[in-house]
Amino acid sequence: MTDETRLVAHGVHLAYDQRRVVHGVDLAVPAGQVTVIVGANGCGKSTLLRALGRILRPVEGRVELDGRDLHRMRPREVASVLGLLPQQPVAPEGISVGDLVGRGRHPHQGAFRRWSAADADAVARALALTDTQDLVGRRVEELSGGQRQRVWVAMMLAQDPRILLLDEPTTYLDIAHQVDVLDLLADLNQQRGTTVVMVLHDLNLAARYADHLVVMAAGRLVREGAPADVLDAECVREAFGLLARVVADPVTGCPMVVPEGARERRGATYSKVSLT
Amino acid sequence: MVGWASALLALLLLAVVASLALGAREIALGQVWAALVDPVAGDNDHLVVRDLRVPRTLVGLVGGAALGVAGALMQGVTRNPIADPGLLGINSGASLAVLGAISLLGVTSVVGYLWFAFAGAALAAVVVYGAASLGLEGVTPVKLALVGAAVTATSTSVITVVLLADTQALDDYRFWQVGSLANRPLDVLTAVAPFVVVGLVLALAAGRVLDALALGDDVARGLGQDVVRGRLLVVLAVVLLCGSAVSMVGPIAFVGLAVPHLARAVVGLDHRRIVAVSALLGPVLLLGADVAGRLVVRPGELEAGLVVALVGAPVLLLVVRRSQAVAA
Repeated sequence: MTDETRLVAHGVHLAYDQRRVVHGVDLAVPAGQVTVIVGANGCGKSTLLRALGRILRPVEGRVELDGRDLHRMRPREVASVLGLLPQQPVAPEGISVGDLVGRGRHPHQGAFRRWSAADADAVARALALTDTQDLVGRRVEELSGGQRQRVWVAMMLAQDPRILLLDEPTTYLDIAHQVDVLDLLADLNQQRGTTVVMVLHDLNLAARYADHLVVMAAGRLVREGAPADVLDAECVREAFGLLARVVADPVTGCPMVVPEGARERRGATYSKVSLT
Repeated sequence: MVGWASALLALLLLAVVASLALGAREIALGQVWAALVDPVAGDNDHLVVRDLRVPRTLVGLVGGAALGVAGALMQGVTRNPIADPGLLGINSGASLAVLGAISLLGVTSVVGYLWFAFAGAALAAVVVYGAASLGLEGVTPVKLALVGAAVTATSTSVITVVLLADTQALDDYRFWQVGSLANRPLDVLTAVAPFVVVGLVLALAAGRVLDALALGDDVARGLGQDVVRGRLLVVLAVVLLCGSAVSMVGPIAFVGLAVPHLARAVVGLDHRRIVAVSALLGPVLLLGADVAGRLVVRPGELEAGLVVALVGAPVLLLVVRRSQAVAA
């Protein structure tokens, strides 16, 4: 089941105050796929994600959801289609997992409406999908970083969106939890056809999990496409100013970026893996 | 849920009965009841109950609810557990306006203060909200708190200057400024009641907005909450409630700080419940303080504004200690 909801950026310019950060990006987010945006610090990738999520209004150009201008739609209407998880969200002190996930129902509730059976169903489903049922009564602050991120994803899922936008969902997680969170998102995409758009820092994880890789540099989109077509040494040099070799990931065959810095050229010595 | 609701209502009823029955003049409960349902003209006991204690109790009910709920809204919108309605500069704006009325216009009645207090509160809120909305991100909790603190500091220093220069005004002002439920005629109450009612309805409507804002602006936006409009709704409710309360009973600060903490200890983090419980606990605390103030230095009395912090602070400390023990 592939979702056909279209999220498209047309010539989007974005600015904070007077400072322009993104200069005319066109991007059609492929429906039902995982799109990963990568780029150097300050290249505008998080800013672009904020515009796709209706948080930041473009100074020029527009973002369309199913052909309608995203910034002219009612916030609630957008929220029932688009879920957005900012970088490092902070949960209120003392909030329980069940309460936090329940707040994902916000766009579906009126000011005085009571908690409905549909709300309860959506929350139960979100907890099941993220495998967090056992955490319901726990306080969010006592969870591990990985569990906490799962709970935030559950909150987004309770919102029942068809598109998930996530800004660096793996920041500050150890490698096992990074893989855990990304596997969760990949499963959601596979099993439910949910469109996923996320910003990631780790190029190798980006190449492994993306169907569609978007590379940004200095506020512009420089490459996009399947990771194997996009991610080469030239691309890494252009986007990050880093000399690197791109080899096949021994596990998946995806492109894997291995930096080749000045120390290597000067003949630095390393502890080597024995291959026998 | 039914449990705590009925417990709170019982507590509130107890506070109301105490406020009607206890005071400098000893009046038996039967006489109090008779004064309410079957008053005898010329009976001094009945007169005291009907003309003094009933208005005083009503003022405590309405003022306490307004202060408690305003505090809950302020702590919610600023995401700051030590916020109180005074943080928006509302109390100091009202105080400055009342002092101006006393010093420049020679106003001396509580009813006369009313509209000045209200206007001062509203003006302070407009200035604070306006100044906080300048700049890139619009109104943020930190900007609201900072500008509120600046307005408070400015008003307070102007107040001090006037009081140093005008000793006559000092006498009238300091009685208003302490905060009291006594000698507030019913006119004050009827003038203020509509504002409080509207404020309370807005506050309940803002409950879910605050639940979303508590997750941070970006998450709230992701959930489809219009953050700017949501904050405006909350601030409007605070102005109505706090402006009413200050006009009626003077700038009593502690109720708005303590009541939301007590409410959270009872019902957790759901803002609709916090607002509802604050509306019940506010009057309990304020009436309780008022009654205590009548009893400790009988036949004289201490103003509720003084007693409330004396009585409330230890309770608050206890609650905070307990909830931290749970969190740890």
